[in-house]
Amino acid sequence: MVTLDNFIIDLTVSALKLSTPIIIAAIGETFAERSGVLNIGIEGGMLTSAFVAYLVSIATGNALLGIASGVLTGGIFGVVHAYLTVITGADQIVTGVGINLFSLGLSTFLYKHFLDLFGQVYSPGLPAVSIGLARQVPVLRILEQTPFVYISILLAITSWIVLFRSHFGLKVTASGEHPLAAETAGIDVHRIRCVCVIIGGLMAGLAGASLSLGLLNLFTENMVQGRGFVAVAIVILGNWTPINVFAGGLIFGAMDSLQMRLQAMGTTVPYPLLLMLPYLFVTVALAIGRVKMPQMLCVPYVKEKKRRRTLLWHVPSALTRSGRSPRTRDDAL
Amino acid sequence: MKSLISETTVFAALKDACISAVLILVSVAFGGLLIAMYGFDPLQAYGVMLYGAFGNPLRVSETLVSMTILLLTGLGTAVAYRCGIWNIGAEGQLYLGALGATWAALAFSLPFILHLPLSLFFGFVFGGFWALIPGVLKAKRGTNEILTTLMMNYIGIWLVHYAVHFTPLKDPNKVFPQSYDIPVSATLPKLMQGSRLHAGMIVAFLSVVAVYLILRRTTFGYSIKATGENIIAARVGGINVSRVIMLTMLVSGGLSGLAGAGEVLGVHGWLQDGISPGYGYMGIAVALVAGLHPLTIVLVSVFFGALLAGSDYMQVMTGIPVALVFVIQGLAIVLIVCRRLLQSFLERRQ
Repeated sequence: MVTLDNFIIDLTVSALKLSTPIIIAAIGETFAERSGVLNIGIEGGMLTSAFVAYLVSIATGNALLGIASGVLTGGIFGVVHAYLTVITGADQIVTGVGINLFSLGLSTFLYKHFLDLFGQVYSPGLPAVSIGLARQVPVLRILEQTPFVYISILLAITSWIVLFRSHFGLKVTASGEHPLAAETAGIDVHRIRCVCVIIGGLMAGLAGASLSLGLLNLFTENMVQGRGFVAVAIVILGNWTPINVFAGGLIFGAMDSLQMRLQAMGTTVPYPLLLMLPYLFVTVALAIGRVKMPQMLCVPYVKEKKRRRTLLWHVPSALTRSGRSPRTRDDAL
Repeated sequence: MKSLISETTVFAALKDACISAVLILVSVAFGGLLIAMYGFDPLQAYGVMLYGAFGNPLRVSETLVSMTILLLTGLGTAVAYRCGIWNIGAEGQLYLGALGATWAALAFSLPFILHLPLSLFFGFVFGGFWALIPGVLKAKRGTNEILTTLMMNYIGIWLVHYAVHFTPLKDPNKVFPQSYDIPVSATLPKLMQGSRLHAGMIVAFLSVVAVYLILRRTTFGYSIKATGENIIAARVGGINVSRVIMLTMLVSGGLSGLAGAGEVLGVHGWLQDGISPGYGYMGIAVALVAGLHPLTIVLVSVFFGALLAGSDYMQVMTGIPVALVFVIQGLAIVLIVCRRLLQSFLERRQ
């Protein structure tokens, strides 16, 4: 007999579980976007990291090593994206699309090869936190989660402190809002942006690892399935604030687990309409202009001393009037 | 120095495409490495792939089927980019176009001469409408079109999912969630007996000609390019920039919508989940590799179409996964991004 209590507890447990990869990736993406770089390549970074984490975890029999290598893989993707988009000023979207296609192909290709050789294998995973009292007090089951859930909470809090209560956070915001002013104030905008994109990449790697090693200890073809894009959406919904991003991710996880449950119970709730809600919210929020996005998101920054010599190939020249880097978003658009 | 957008002549675009071709070869070589890892001789495997793309008339028809859809999404993407709008929503616009075409095909009962054009028109309109929303938002409110088009991709995909699972379009007698079969009067006729090649290819080629002529010969085309070059100069010069942006998005989305309509009316014969495994994103690759010129887009989409059809065949014959294509395409995009950097570096040294 399914009681309402149990139903709600189950729902919370699985909501936390399902939202964790999205939350971790979204918090990383918050860093990148606040500094002015839109990295849609995290979708691909997550996918390849999930695969590498799974592979290394099997090869070494140690889930921690798997996670570490997943994080590292994500970091490498971050470095590539940072180099191309920040240092050399390539278009952020095109680069992201390329990285995503490449990762989708590479991970699927290698995984098929792996399947041919070994078949479907469960990897070692992290044991869930277990609480003795949970048998007596069912509510405590909510706390019985993989460590990833706790990591994501920790990340949300520390990221909030770093972004809003530290000197570094101020530099990040300055780089995203008004890079020229930031540079005038002596901030190395490129360095800040690179660091932020790489942080985003590392977290995307962790998110990927939490997907393959935190849920089923399995990898499947294209297992990220758009979660990276959901993360991008949730960063916007969360108004570029880690705590709100965490809450937004949780809501998405809750909706996802609710629709799965409703489907399993055989009800004919139009679940696709539930699943499109986050995207719909983002579109509406953008449309009514309720979001205050980093002013120079998606606009590459050319350093003042280099500006005379460089012109950007990739931006319609409307974006770079007479070779100057746009100073404000109005300039740019 | 030229920006990507300003490379207007077919020769500049061709030169562009030639350099891109070299970079694609590099990506293909990387794919060869992966094949070698799989335990096959890369040359032999690519031989199979080549046969799979052009080996006999049936294989050529498969290449052309893939080319048709890439041509339309690539063209749609390129039109928007020429106007300086980063429309990355071709995927969603394709899905909406498929939905619109299915609806029109099933809702009306008309003779062929009217029904097919009407269904295609609805594909165009639905796709165009899906792009028009971000277009209006950008033109009227300055909303970032990159984010809105990206988000609307997923809304569109889930909308089609909803349509084939929960609406009257769904055929309850089918095992898989699919719409009712498209009536013959709305089906794109086959161009070759026993193949999947359909008249959508002709629609695609007509679109290329139309886009070429619009960009080259009309005031509207001129205002698209002017807006893409320098939006402020265009505005000062008396061009109604926001109208141009909205119209461009309508055309851009409409072309991707036609791609989806072709897929439903020509290839599948019904609407289903996942009708596009990322053709919209590949369209971005096609447009960029081709340097945004309508005529080079034809060449590039033949190449990518051959890659798709050939790797399908290769998977059947040798077991090497189709996913190889994504590796090659993704790497090609990243390399082409790098190439521009190399070029600007060299020009700076001079």
